[in-house]
Amino acid sequence: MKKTTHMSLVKWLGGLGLLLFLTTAQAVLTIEINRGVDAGIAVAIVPFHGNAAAPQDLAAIVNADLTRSGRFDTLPKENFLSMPGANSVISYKDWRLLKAEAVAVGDVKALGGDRYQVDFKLYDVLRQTQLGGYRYTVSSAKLRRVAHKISDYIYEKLTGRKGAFDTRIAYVTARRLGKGKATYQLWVADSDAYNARNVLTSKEPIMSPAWSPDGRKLAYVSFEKKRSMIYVQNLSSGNRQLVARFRGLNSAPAWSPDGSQLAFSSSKDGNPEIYVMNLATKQPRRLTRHRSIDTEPAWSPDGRSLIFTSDRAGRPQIYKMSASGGSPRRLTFEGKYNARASYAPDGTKIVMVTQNDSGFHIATLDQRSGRFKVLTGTRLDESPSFAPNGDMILYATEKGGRGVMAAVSADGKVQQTLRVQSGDVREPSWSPFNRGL
Amino acid sequence: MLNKKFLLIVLVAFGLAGCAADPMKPEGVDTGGEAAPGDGAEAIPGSGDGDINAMAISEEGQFGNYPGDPLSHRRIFFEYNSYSVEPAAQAVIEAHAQYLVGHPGTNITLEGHADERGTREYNLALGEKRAEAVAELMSALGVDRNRIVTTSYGEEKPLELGHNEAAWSKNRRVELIY
Repeated sequence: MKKTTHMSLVKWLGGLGLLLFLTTAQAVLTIEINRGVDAGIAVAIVPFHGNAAAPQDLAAIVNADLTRSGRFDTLPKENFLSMPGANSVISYKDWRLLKAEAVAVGDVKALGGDRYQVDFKLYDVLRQTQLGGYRYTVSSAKLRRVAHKISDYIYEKLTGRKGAFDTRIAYVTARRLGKGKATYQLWVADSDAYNARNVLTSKEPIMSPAWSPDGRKLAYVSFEKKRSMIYVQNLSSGNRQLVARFRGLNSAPAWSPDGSQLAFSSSKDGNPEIYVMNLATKQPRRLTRHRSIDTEPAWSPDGRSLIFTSDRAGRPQIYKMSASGGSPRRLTFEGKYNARASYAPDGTKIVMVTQNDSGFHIATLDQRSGRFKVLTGTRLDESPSFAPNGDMILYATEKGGRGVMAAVSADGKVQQTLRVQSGDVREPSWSPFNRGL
Repeated sequence: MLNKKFLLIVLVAFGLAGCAADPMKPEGVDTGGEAAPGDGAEAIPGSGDGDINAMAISEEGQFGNYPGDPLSHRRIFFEYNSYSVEPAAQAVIEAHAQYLVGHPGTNITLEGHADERGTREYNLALGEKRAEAVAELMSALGVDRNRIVTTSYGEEKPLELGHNEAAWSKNRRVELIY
């Protein structure tokens, strides 16, 4: 990452093209942290000097990001003894008294013509050293992303793991209109659920949004032609392509890591099987041959193999096979129902939906140790996907009779619920890392 | 430290209305030429049209409109996570197969559904398998397989919205649509 990032020349995803697709709507998002780590890293985010001139409160966004991760104890600004900015001398004593381990400070300058300069610095209170700093020059539309980049920086410096705040999520909402009628909408939002942009609205169900590895496209299943078909939509232009409309089912799209192929499930040959399609030629290649259900394919990070759900042993379980074909090997033996598996970004674990006596939960299977771990206690959990840094898992669950989004840390220690106020929320999917700014 | 419940209420403004460009707009018209007679485009599954449905097929006259006629049953129900046709459903399927054999101009759409438990994609496949199971039986009873269209909505279009077995048992079904 460069020390200074100028975003003015970079075409921001979603720019003018997507503005056309925004819908008049307001939603209240509630983030409820149900469980956090016992001892988070104590960090103070000082309100940025000059922030009043900008339309976004950067320190507040950073504060919310870090709090949401469950790994930080963000100190309340009311207790701060001094309010330094990016050019101030830090009085370490003031922060030691608050038991802050790190302090972040910044300045915002309005440069005119909708351009803002953001300076930010991070200090280690115990070692009394500056850990680093950044300057960003951006338009107002990108200030939230700058705040998420700052959160990513702090996260990485203090936990040693890459941050995933400057990422996006895709999800589907359903609103029942009575008499069997409903409105289904596909959305893309920032990882904190702000800036939700409507990608598709339909009277028929929308399912299974899947991010292309470059984060520019979504593949999804839409029933708008009265049966399931797979579309690929470019997020900045809104252009979309119908890529699979074979006889019967067309479902569960999954991008190969290089973005050139799409694995999916289809019953084109009479039974739900796994196929892989080269997106350039649109020619499907059949991978599985079994009378049972084979669906929900997901690629290994190296692109060499696929995992998928099959009930060939009587109940749904996870199987693995080579991307070039061959015989599948069963991976899951714990739990009577395991489905919708996908890999952690580093390939060490797979996450899935598992059923035990208390309902459907999110679980991980460690590929090396074989350890199977149930992470959630909620009852109707679905559609898990890893954050691109592998630290959190986003999934759908039900709360108070409504579908909501929730997240759990990969170790199960941090849990949170994200509620968008209107309609049922389902099928969340975490984007890859954003590129550029 | 973070064990306390933390509640952030945040306003998300989705922005201004825009006239959506056309590539975004689903057409809602089936171009696959699979629509059943009688304008299948309006047939919204799960719209509560009831198990006893005196549907008229104009050129053939009325059918399935007297009590006890197996043709009046337009739904086949399934056990949890199963796509085996229950013996109890056999008579209904036979009656419809017989009807189709006697009316070569009539086609049928079998629309599979699942209850909400389990993953959406697996349930979509489950619905398809249920529809396929009914199709295979009809085909074995002499109905040309090309006259049967199978489709699935998985758990997306429940008949009942409850989160209990009473609702689930109604949602695990295949709809017979003429």
